[in-house]
Parts: sequence; C-alpha cells; structure tokens
Amino acid sequence: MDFFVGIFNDFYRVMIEGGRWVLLLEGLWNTIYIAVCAVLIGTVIGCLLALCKISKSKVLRAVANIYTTIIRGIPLATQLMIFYFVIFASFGMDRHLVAIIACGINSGAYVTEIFRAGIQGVDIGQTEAGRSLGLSRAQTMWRIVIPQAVKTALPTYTSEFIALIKETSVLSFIAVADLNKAGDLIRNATYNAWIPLITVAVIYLLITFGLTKLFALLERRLARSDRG
Amino acid sequence: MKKITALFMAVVLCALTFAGCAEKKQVTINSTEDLNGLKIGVQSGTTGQTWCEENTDSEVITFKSGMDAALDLKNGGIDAVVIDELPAQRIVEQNDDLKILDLRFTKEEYAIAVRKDDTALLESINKTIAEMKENGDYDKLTGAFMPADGNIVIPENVAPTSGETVKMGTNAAFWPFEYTEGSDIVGFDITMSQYIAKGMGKQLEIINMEFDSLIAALQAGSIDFIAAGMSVTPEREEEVAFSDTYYASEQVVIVRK
Amino acid sequence: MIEVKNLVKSFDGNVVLDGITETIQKGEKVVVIGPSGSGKSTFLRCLNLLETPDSGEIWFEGEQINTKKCNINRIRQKMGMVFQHFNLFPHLTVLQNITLAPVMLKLQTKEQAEARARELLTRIGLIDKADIYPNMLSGGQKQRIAIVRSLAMNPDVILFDEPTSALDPEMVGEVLELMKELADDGMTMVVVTHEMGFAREVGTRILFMDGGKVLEQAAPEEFFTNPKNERLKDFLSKVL
Repeated sequence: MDFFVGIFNDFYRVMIEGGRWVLLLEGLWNTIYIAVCAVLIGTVIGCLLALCKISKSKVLRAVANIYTTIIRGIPLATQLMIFYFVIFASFGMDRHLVAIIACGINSGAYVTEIFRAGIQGVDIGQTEAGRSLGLSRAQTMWRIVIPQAVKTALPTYTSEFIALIKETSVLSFIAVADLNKAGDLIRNATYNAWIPLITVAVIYLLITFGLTKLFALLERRLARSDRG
Repeated sequence: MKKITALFMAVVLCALTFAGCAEKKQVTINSTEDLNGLKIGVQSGTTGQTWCEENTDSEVITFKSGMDAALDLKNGGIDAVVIDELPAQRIVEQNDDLKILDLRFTKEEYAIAVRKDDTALLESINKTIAEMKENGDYDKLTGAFMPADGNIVIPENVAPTSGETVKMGTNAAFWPFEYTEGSDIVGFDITMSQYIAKGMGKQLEIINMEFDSLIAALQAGSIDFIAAGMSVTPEREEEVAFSDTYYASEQVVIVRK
Repeated sequence: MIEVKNLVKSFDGNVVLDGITETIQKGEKVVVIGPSGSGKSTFLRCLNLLETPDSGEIWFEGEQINTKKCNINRIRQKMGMVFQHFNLFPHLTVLQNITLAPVMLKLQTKEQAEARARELLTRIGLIDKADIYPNMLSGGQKQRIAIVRSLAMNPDVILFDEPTSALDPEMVGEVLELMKELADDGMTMVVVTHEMGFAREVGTRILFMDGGKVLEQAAPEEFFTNPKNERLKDFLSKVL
C-alpha cells in the first residue's frame, strides 16, 4: 500500500504540481499533428513516385529510385538535421514546418515502396483484362489496379504511419518539443527519470496500440466489402 | 482526386504562412526585461534553461548542445542563446556573425556531483580539489585550458591505467571543460577527474551522454560522479550531493550581429 | 476482318512465332490447337497487341494496328477477349464488371449499360448474381460473366484464350454451351482451346500450330478425318 501511495505522491509531485502535465499535452499534440501532416505529404509523394516507379519512362524510374535509395539509406535524425541546419537554414523556416517536411519526405520514400509493391502485387491479368476492354493505361490503373492495390497495401501503409509516430521522437534534435521531448523537459525540471519516461512510454503505447486496433477494424471492413 | 489536390494545396498554403512568419530580426537587449517575448535557445537541462524559464517571459527552446542552439541562432530560428561564459566565447570565436552581449545575469559555480549516499567518494573528491588548489595543480589546469594566449596544451593523463575503474559522466559539448579533440574527450573537467581518480587509485572511465541525462544516470548508478561544468543549484541539491565548487562562471547572452 | 502478315515474336531469344500469315474473315469461327508452347496463345494475344510482335503486320478492319499512329484502345473496343483465368475485377460487383468499360469509355450511359448488362445476365441465367462480388461465383459462372463482359462492348470479334482450361470438368459444359450460342448468333470468334469436340462442332476452320508455325489448316471434317502433317497426326492420336 505504501508503495502505491509513494508512486502516487511521486506522480503528483512530478506531473500535476506546477502543471507539468500541460507539457505532455503540448508534446502529444505536436507529435500527432506533425505525424499526420507528414503522412499526408508522404502519401502524396508516395503516390506520385510509385507511379514513376512503374512508368515506362526510364528518367522517371531513375528519379524515383534515387529518391527512395537516398532517403531510405539515411537515418531520420540525420535527415532532419540536414533539412533544418543545412537545406532550410537560410529560409528561417519554422522548425515545426521543417519537421513536417523532413518527416513527410522520409515517409514518402517508404510509402512509395509500399504502393509500388501493392500495385505490382495486383495480378497482371487484371491489367490485361482492362486493356483488352479498350481502357487506356491510365484508366486501367485508376479504376482497376489501384483500388485493388490500396487494399493489399493498406496494412503495411498503416504500420508505416504508426512507425512514423514513433520515429518523430527524434524531433528534439531540432528542438521541437514533441512528446518524447516533453518527457525530457519534465525529467530536467524534476530530476525524476522514471515517472516522465514511463508516462511517455505508456502514451506512445496507447496511441500505437489504439491505432493498430483502429486500422485492423478498417481493414476488416474493407475485406468484408470484397465478399459482398 | 479533387480532394487530394485540395489537401495538397492546403498543406502548401500552411507552409507559406509558416515560412512568412520567420525572419531574422535584429534584437536589442539591454536588460532582463528585453528578453521577454523572444525565442531563446538553451542547452537542455542547464542552468541557462532554468534561469530563462524562471526570470523571463520568453519562449525557451532547448537544444541538445550549445552549438546546435548557436547554429539555429545563425539561421534565424531563434533570437538569442543563453549559455555559460566560456563556451559562449568559443562559439563567438568560431562564428563571425554572432556576438556576446555586455550583460551579465547570474553568477554560478561549478561543482562535481555524486550520489547523496556516496559520502566516501564526496570526501575523496573534496580532498583532491583542496590539494590541487594548494599545490598549484589547479592553477596549472586553468593555465592549460584557459591560457592567456589562447593555445591550449592538453596535460598528460595522471590517473592509473589499470586496476579498478571509477565512472565519470559528462557531456562533451562544453568547451573548454569537456569537448572532443580528434577522437578523445578532453577538457578541464576531464583532467580534474583524472586527478580525482588518481586520488582514489583507480582508472578513470569517461561516459559521454546528453547533459540532461546525467543526473538520472548518476541516480541509476551507471556513473559514479558527474564532472560536466555543472552549476550548483538548490533544485539539483535535492537530488545529488555537490563537492566544493571549483570554478565560478556566469550566464551570458549571444545574439546575431 | 483480321489479317496477319509474316508475324514474328520471340521471348529472350526463343522464337515463339515464326512468320505467321493468316486471314480471318467476318463470321468465321477459327479454332487454334496445338501442343503447349506451340505459340498459339501468343498468336492470339498478338491479335489485340497484348503482346507486341517483333515484326510483321496486323490489320483489323482495313487498318494496320501495330503502328504508333493507331489508337489501340479504340481497336480493342471492337475485339473482345476472354482469358483462361477469367480476370474478373474482384473489387467490383458482377454488374459493375460488365458496365465499367462501356460507361467509362462513354459508349453508353450508365442506365443503358446496366439495362444491357441485366439483359445479358438474364440470357445466361445469372441475373440473380448481378450485385454480388466475383469471388462468390463458381469458375463456370465467372467465365460466363467474363464472356458477357466482353459482349457488353458489342465487339466485332471475340478472342478466347483457353477459356475452359482453368475450369473443373463439370463446369466446362456450361461455358462451351454459351460459346456455341454466340457462334450460332454469327459472332466472329478466334478460339485457342484443347476442347476437340468443340473445335469439331463449332469451328469453321481449324489451325494446327507447332513450333511457332501454322502447320496445317482445314475445315473440321477434313482436319480430323484426314490429317496430312505428321506432327498433327501424332498430336491427334494423343488427344483424341
């Protein structure tokens, strides 16, 4: 009993006193909106580049390949710092925006591969059936291949989003106060390591677990429509 | 398709709005009050951070090192950096477009931190510091790392190179107290720690980590003492025990020229 | 209607079509038979350019189709194709499978296309399946719907690429029955198949292909009773 009272007192001192829980809330908000914006950018990039990757044009394929090779070959933290301290240095751009752009570009490379695999995973017979009916390449792609590709790519796509939420914990490298950083700030202010760390860990876990469940539900819905 | 286009447009629009906000403004700071409303960069977990949070109404942005904060200052991401005097001098030396303001806020003193229950180690450290001040080793140390002519000569390791080890935690981004020279971590605190280790008859193991992780690491037992230009503050004294102080410093403000 | 001149196609150095010249008239039901690897499927797939020939000419209704100038999508609207593996679109209902192309290509309004699709489905007795998804259907049903899907485009010719090879034996009959009906209605058909009974009964002309060449062709009666080519004799002795 004393043990739990002790924990509660510690928790109260570290989190509630001085309103430090607000830091966590702000950090959580930053983490979520940066991840959501980044995944939107990543999805747009991913769509375009996946189409480049399967296009007939050698130039477009090469561009997409160079992009994915470079971005996937460099850790996010390094990219983030390059974007902030080198590429966007002279623009004086808001650090949150740089974070969104960097994470978006990073995520874009992974989404590209996910979509490409999804599109190429659709049986070639589907394309042939579409084309043999007189549909153009684009019409076949848009109405026949992509709807099926989306369904197969969805599970990996959603886990990429969840991975991105976890990866945003490197944002403190460019001094963005994300959830992880909020934990750091509380740790510094209170010199208590375990309460903020465990709290942050639990919040991350709740988000990722919740999203995993949510997406699984969504996938099951989609799968059901398949069966009519 | 229309929805995607609209979404994309919205993102671009947001981007432009954000980008429009930031510009490198020239700030004039003559007193503490002038820091209000500014974006101030500090190293995470330092007294600079605490001081800014407690004494100014500014947006305090924490970086992993003072150098990162300075870089962001150059790039226009923040308006000023609050940091200890000596690292500040080093930063300004290396960046022509930055300057230190002729303004001093707080005096503070560096000391070595140990676990509260580790009285034996604390006594040993205090004894070493006292001896060094007495026999001239301390003056040699300041002479080596804060020379008048600017040419630092790094002293030889004085600690034993075999036997039991004592673990010292530091954050090697705080010139001239701890920094990297080639692949070695060197500095005032490092050499002093070697004297401390020598006094204990042990090898010195240096563990380099984030500044804001040092106290937690000490409490967790992964290091035995902290020598990281750490200032004595009442908040920290609640968590750790400090040795006798060994250096007096001040917080200064760096801005763009 | 379809004219093929000196068609050559090779995959990775293996010659699959070795200079084929052939003419198919309107109303003909040409059945192509031959051992596997003889190039018969490739020949069929070249007719609507699902495979691009290395050299040679393909003419359809007086227009050469294997040139850059030719809009192949427009040609394909007039050349239906039925595949071995049906290739129905699994994400669309049966009705949507049938109406997708006519509506998308603006050949018919949605209402017209649906009415036509329902009419065709009624004809083959699958009207009750209109709103379900293909994976609820049997193989035979799938293939009949695939045939209806190409019929909905009102094609001038339908190409059948081994339409019964992927079916369980008890389902082969219903598909062949539908193909026979089409033939009776006067549809021009090119059929690659192993169904000798069908070839004999429905075909107006039978081609025997082997090694990328047409080795023999004749009307069914002549073809089956009096084969001349040694390899055809050998082939028929194995399959009949």
